[in-house]
Amino acid sequence: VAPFLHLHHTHLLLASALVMTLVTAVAALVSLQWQAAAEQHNRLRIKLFQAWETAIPPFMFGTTSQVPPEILDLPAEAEALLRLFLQQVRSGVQGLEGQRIKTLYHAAGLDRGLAQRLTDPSPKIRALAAIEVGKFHVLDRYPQLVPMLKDPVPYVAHAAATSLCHGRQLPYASQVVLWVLTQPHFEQDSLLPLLERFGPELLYMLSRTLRNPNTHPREWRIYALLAMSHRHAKAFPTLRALLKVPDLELKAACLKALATMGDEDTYPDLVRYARNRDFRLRIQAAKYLGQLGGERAVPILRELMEDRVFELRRQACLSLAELGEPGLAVLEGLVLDPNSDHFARDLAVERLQWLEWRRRS
Amino acid sequence: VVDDDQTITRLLKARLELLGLSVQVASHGLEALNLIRSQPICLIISDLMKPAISGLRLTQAVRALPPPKDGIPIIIISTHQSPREKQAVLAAGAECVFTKPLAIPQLVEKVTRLLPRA
Repeated sequence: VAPFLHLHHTHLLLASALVMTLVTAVAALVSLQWQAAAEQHNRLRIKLFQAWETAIPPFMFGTTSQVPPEILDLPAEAEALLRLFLQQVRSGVQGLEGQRIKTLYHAAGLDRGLAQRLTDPSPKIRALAAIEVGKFHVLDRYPQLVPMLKDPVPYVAHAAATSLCHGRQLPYASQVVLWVLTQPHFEQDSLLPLLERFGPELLYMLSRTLRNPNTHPREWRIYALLAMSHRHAKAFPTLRALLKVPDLELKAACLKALATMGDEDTYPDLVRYARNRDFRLRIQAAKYLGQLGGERAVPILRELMEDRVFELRRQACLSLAELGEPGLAVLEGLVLDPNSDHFARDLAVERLQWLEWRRRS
Repeated sequence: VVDDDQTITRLLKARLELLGLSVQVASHGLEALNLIRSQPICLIISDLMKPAISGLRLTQAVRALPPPKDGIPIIIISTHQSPREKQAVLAAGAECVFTKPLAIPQLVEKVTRLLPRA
């Protein structure tokens, strides 16, 4: 049996080596073919982009009203590249030139098949199509973007939201706001610039449609931050009323908005919050007292410099420095007083040194 | 014109050539600095974020060149520009900052206003 087994193993080894060689060879061939195709595509892209970069400027800059023939009757592959090219140019220019790029997009019939691309199984194609709707303002495709806000692939939903915001599609704004609220908390603030695109009209709409702030404070937090972005002074009464809602983050957002917009009537609230039991509110109050308080805020900020929470002392120190002369005098006093709280003194020294360094540099 | 986005660079070149200007393009800051050192350049339009040398560093480098090249007007264009970045680049000596998407007529107006000075 032994010689037979030996022979069998040798055959097995030979067979597996042969299979491995074959697999490697096929993989190498496929890879080569793929590389060649990619290179060919790249060459075509460079060639076409260079041609369009020469052909499009006269129309784009208004020296001719004739659509360049180079962009008409293109094969499918070139059509996809032209779509990419025009998107790139559209991202770089606005105004009349941007409008002319949109004209070229429609003249070349690039919106053909857009409805299908928006529902393509490939998320990349769906996302690109969603961006296309916003970039070229394809009006009749905006409604199709709304269900895409629930797309399981995050970047597709993001692309749909971006296009709805860029197109200032107010009828769908509340859906976009709801989408923003589904995002992780830390990402919501970074999505605010997107919502700002809707303009201050969004605030009027939100004030009518948002739910009860006591049960849905996160929705009103977005309202407060947007009111701040738009410097929307008409929102002052609403923001002051929202300060009464117990939710901490909503309170912080309202304080931020009111202080940043310079609402003097918020000062008593800031003083009240500076003595709140919750240290997070005390920190927020200390921060905005530095912006809004002026000289009258000096005593309370001095008091906060000796708070039991270190972060609050630090914030009070920063705010005193921000107040200018009267605040700096307090910090200098702390440095010179040997009986002052040593943590407060260290913070004052650090801040004054930093200010001195900044003044010199 | 200094920008790694070749499409925008070429389009800007085409627009500026319509004004009768001779335009040189560079895809990064180092290439731009070499051009500035070796050729008579009257105005620089540079992207803020680009490989090798940023728009800020390029501005600082140009301002550190011996006269008269240290006075070449610089226009910065930027995609995502924070107020701090804008302040830094203006403090470094750039004339102004334009944000993408560009308003071409305003940019052209700024170029024509700055050129006679150069």
